[in-house]
Amino acid sequence: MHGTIQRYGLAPPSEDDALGMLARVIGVDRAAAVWARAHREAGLGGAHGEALGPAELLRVADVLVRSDGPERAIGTSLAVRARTWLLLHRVQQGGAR
Amino acid sequence: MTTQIDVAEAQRGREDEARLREIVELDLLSPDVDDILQATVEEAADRLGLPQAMVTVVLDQAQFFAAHHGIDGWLAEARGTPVEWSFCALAVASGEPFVVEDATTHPLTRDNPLVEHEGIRCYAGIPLVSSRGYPLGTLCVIGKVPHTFSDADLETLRGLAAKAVHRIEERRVGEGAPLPGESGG
Repeated sequence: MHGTIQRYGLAPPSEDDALGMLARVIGVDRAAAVWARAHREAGLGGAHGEALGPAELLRVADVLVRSDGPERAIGTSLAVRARTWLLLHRVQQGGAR
Repeated sequence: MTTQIDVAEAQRGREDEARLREIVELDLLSPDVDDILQATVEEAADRLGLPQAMVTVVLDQAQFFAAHHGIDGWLAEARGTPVEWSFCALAVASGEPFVVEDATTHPLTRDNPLVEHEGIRCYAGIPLVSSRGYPLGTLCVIGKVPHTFSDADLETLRGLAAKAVHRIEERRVGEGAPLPGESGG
């Protein structure tokens, strides 16, 4: 369902990618806590269940973007990647230019 | 057991954290940066006679368009691209201006989707470095046809890049990231 945008070779962002981005910069323990909080504040529940798609990851990213500290930058990174995938997916589906 | 690779990775993480903290403390990810730097990007496009100009912020996995002129379609809506498509990331990584006169023949850009599908043909980007020594992103100009950049063009861009950094620094918030080489904690 959330496959690679073939024309651009762009894979969808994943929750693992996002957590990895956070962990590399702020450490594994802090990343897990920050992610759980953002996940909850995005209205996606506190626990990890089914893998999040790009639209849900964008909601989590929007929470991170409102943070202070480096997690704001990671949130922006994730938001750009999720928006890019969603917009190009729409183009691929013929919904935009 | 801690390996040499673990230590190197941890060091890179600390450096990335300090650089990203600097970007946040300079408030470069706020929507109002576009207004503050809009005159600079318009002047860059106008003086170099090219249709597009941007101030980009190079993050860990994406580039973010802090201010842009002449960008439309999905690129404007996304306000950035994945970092692996970013010409600006190459300028930031080298710390030197990155100039591409014909992106379809340049070995670092000819396979880039932005060249193949979005028509980018020429590019010149000057790294923006904060007063504390952190590379932030670039001031860049882009065109849809091959273009030769003169020394005077690059000097013009350098001057505008310095102006952009000055405007960015005026908005600094917080205590500041540690200087490069200091412990990032």
